[in-house]
Amino acid sequence: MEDCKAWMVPLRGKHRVAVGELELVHVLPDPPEMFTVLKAPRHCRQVFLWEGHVLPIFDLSQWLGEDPRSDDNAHLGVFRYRPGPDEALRYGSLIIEGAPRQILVNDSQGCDLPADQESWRQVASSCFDYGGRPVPVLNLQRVFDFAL
Amino acid sequence: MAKSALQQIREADLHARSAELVVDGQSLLIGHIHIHSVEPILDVRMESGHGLALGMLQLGDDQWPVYCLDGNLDILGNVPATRRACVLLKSDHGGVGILCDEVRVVDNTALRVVPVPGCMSGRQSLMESLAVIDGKVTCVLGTDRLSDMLQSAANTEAAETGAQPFEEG
Repeated sequence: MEDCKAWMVPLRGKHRVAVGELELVHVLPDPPEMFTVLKAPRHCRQVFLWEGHVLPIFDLSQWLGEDPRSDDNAHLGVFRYRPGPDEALRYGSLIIEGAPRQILVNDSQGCDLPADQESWRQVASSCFDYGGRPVPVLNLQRVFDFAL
Repeated sequence: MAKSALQQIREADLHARSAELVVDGQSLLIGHIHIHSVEPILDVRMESGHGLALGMLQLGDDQWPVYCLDGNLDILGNVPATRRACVLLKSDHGGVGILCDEVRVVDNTALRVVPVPGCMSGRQSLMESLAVIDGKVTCVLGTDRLSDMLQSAANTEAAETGAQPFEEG
């Protein structure tokens, strides 16, 4: 069975998610200047400029029910996704906690989404077992292109 | 009927500029096409009895309800000392006056307008787009959406208190 590379991304509140090898493009070493979008959802109220793009900052942990972060010292990962075969790449950012780690995954590790969080069904396209814990694989288009 | 050259120039001018409203340090852009006029706050007749509007501004035969919002666009029941101007906004649903601290004219050629990311839009969103200007990102306010928000808030207030519901200029 063929292994494929993925990034395991730690989030606040001991959550962790995975994305494809080419979907994580940058981890910002320092918090950027952030701008508030008024009346946007609480888990996604700020944007920043990255290489000319305006990127939303999505706090997946807060969306999952964790407390809002208490300061602006967020560590951000920049992700890219392609909405359709002929469409241009789009970018978004997630608040992460710690450095993403590259791992190898194969189909034999497939498992159910975490049972304690029904919300994962809205943002995950699949899930695999890693070290005895389920790791949802994010569908980045669902995260960044739709109001959740 | 064909538009006159003067009308065409005027419309082009309206589309070429935006107004930057500053409220509690928060900047908001609004296309000039949506702005009727900017009036001094002294011309606003502050009085109760207009639901969530803090007063009325009379311009010719028209009465414009005037609202005070904070930097998060929540409706205030009082007027902070920093408010100096009243911007009269046109919308498909009538017009409203919004008190702000400063109003500046922005040339649209200095702006790069981008859509609001899908994850930030939603029923509550009041922004029709975002704009990048001088390395900063500013919200572009949708006047129809603002008007809807004020109407909805006023109707909720009226249902709870039996007060007069929303009125527009």
